[in-house]
Amino acid sequence: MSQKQAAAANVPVVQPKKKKPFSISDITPYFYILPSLLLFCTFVFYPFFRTIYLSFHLTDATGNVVKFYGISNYTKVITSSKFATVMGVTWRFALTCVVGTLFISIICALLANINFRGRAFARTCFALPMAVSSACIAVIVSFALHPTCGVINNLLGTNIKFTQDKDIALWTVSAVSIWMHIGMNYIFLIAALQGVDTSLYEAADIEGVNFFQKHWHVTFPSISPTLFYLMVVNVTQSFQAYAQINLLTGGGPGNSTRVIVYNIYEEAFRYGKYGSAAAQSVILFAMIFIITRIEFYVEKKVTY
Amino acid sequence: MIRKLTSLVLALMMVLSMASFAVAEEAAPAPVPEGRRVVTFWHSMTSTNLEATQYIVDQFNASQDEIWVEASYQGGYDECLTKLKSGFMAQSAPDVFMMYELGANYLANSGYVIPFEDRLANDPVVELDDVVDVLRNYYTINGKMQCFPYNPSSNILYYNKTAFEAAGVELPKTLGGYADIAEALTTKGGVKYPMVIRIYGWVFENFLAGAGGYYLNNENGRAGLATALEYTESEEGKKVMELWKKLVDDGVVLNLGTNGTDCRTAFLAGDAAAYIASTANLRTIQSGAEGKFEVGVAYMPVMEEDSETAVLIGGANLWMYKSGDEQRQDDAWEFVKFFAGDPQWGAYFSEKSGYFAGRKSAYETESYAAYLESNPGARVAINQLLDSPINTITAGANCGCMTELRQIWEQNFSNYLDDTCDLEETLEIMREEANSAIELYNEVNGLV
Repeated sequence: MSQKQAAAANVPVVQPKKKKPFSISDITPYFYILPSLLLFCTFVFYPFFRTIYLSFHLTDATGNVVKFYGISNYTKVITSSKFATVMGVTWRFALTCVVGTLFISIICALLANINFRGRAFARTCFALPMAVSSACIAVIVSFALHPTCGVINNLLGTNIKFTQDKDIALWTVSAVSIWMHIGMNYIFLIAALQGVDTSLYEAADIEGVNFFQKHWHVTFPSISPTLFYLMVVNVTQSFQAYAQINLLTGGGPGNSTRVIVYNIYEEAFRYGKYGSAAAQSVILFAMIFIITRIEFYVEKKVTY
Repeated sequence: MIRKLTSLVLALMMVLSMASFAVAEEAAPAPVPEGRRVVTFWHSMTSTNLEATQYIVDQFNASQDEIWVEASYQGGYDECLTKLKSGFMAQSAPDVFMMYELGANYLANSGYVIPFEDRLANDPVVELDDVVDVLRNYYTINGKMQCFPYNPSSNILYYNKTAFEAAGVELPKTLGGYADIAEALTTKGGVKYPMVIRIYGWVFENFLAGAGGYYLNNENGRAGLATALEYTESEEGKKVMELWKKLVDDGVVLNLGTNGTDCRTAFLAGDAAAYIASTANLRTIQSGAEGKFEVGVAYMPVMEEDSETAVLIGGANLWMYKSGDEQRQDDAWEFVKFFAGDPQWGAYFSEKSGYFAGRKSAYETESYAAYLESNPGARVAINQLLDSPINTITAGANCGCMTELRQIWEQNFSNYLDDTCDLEETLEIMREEANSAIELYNEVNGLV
């Protein structure tokens, strides 16, 4: 029976749902998110779009936009030899830090997961770097590593310029960063290790696997979601490193520890070149965005 | 038990690190008394310098009953300048602020400040002739004295008197002279290096001025707009850099990079016999060496035996914001006038801090004369300041992007010192980077 016929027969038909009249309850959810949305707009979205806007403009020293500059900020940055150095330093720093931090924190977590006397003490020690601020670390490290009168050089009987030699400085800064980040990573990993199903280990023991096989086939697959999370966080953190560089080397000697965020800070807040700094920020954003995408893509391939 | 103990230790450490933050925080300012008009004052002073500044502000507040100056610490000079710029854009900058020498050109050309000399024209509380000549020379931009010196400083040579006496050598007048006494100092003097010099643009500029070289073209930007570097083209620039490198290569000068604290540590540990740093460090160095060795203070080394020691000014000044509100501007002037008009305040701050006073008459006040009597090091620093030749070389580089130019020099000179580049390559890179920076700065700031 068609609709027309039904109408003709005066039979009630289920009409397609009419739009409900507007009621305040429809929009109440938006009020709930309004406070956080406002905060986000003020402190995240507005600066983000402002940065993109500035990256296409030239500003005067005060920060007023003077003129539209097209993509010249980008082309100038990308073609400059200094930026190539900065990029190289940034990548080397990030790779060293991510690999080093994860490797050492996994070892610490595995050690702390074994039952032995004094385990609680070791666990506290591994997490301790978390409680120390980067400024404190930098001051202590720069005293300890002083070339002529630092503790380490005195013990070794050497005059190694840990933060003043262009071939060593980046390693020093990386080592300090790794040490700073171990605590956090270790906490996450130990939590993940506690969650590994013990029956899997029992089964593995019955199979008669050795230490490495056990961890490779049981532990790592079980903690891989945590590992993945830490990987993403560490990569982002390393690309955005600033405090330890600023405090330890100031980007030097030469440009050998000049990572991109330090460079951005200097261009914007010391030289007043907001356009060029904004362009570099956008490049950094794009880089981290792409790397994170790749990480998520790879994650899907990994089985749990 | 161990578990409890370790968690206690951890908790304690966290509390301690929080406590250190609390210490860094400023004490809450005193409430503004009713009926007073507030003048905001931004500065970059910490510890004893902060106390002395607050004392001066308190004295001003007590001296009359209409205006109330509210002083607040805004981070180091660079950080404060960044905040000022946001303040200018939002038309909410402080009425009076302290800014260092590298910010002077930017401020003078920004249109956001009232030149000190303009105010002085209607209310002549200071004879400009009484302002220390080097300072007047440096801060006269666009034909007017732009600001009043609050805490000026200069480079000076600190040396380990004990080591020099043990080695039985005289303090050389020239930088090159240190090579001749290196052996005596390291063998008989008991030091590892005759000298430590920080890779610092200001020190290079000082050596360059001492050698009689300009930093920028058009006489340091004083005879017209500076458009390019001069030191990359002149003999003086090359001479200073070559000598510096030679001394580092020969182990006469210890190179510890751009970190000032590392250099000071080496000097105070008795590893280096001489050390170049700001006069503002006088107090820190004297107290740091106490009980270890006797600190001597001398004029900056020069390039040639017969050249005069040039002083290149550093440190900060009081600036007045052009807010457009006549009343606020007048109130701000009252405070600046209070400080500038009476030489005792400059003298007071100088005694407390180790910085200089801006007026010559400050050095003749009774209490200051007594201070100099008891502190011969300060006397040497002031003599160096007053003896300096006055010309467009010691007027310093007049350019708004000096912060960047200084960095360009430091980065590339560092590469030259560790043999990444030879001198010609270094000069070429400096020229290229700096000249395009100057060109861009002049263009976007409407100076060309």
